[in-house]
Amino acid sequence: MANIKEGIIKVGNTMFRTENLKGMTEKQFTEQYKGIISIGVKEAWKQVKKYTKE
Amino acid sequence: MSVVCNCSTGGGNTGTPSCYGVFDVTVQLILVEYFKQDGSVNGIEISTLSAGGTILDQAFLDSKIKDVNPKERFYPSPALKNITDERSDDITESFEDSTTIFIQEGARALEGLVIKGDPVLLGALQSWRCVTIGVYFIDKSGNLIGNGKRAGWLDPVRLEDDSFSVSLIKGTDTTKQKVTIKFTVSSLESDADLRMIEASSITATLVGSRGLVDAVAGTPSNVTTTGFDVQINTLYGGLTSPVPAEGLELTDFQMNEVSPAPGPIAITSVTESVVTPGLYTFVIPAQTSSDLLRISNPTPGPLAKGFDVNTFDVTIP
Repeated sequence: MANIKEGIIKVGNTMFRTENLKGMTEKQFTEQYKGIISIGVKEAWKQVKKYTKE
Repeated sequence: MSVVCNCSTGGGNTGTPSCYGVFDVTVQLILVEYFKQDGSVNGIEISTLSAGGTILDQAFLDSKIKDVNPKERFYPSPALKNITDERSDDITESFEDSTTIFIQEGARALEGLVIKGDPVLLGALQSWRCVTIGVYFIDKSGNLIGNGKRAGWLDPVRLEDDSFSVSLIKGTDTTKQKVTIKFTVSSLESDADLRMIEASSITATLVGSRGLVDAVAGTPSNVTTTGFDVQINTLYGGLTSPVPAEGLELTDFQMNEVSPAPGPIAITSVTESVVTPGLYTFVIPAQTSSDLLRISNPTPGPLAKGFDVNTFDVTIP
């Protein structure tokens, strides 16, 4: 996971705006990103969650 | 331009320093629109260079080449070969006693070849005919040459209106396909005003610098209230095998709602497919049916990648 700049992270081949992920559940995340993220949706969720908690 | 005589000071001093740089052969051009939208010349203000106006660095070059404003952007040409950059003979008047007097200089014309230049490049260059063109010359030594007449600026050299001409030369059994570029320098320009930022003051990779590549989106697919897929390609390649615009990311796009409630929308994520290059999945905050969204280059720029993403629209089903 790379912190590209304030509020933006890169997980696998996806760049996220963390502000938009706040409040998203694992189920919602999985439904939205299943089959898209190169590192797999479970690993991506782990990383996203870790970052959005910090 | 005819020579302006200065009767009060007479001729100029003709001494030269023991060591000074001279222009080398041109290997590349930087095309610019000569005038900015505010009417001023689209030049380089020397004081804005780094290290107190002494170094032209990569950040400065990128800010020009990747300027999100196409009217002020710098457009480097591909490398040029077989350059001829010469003034035609002076125009003189001859008299019956066989003497001649100087009237004015001949026009300076440049011609060069872009090897492997293709019809897409040809079309891009042809579109320059509609504007007043300025040009900087990049020489083989890496010097940037322009017009230094305006104090504190290196301006582009203005071209004669409507003189810019490009054509495609198809390959033969023994030669490669090429695009020729020809133009005449404006009669308002004087060779005596040519100046350069020397290569020793340029830390940017100037020789070999590349202009932006147009990236055009196809019709968005799998459009829902929270996202869509879109294939983004360059204009290059075959009709059925276009060259994809690879490597774009969230920060390379900006989204705005056009209707019914105009305003910016922060894209949640952008993912490029690992299977299909140039296929991007956008995830966005939930929208309402019939919303019209517009995706474009991010402002204020400069652009981070080498692509100029042409604006495209998505209508939420």
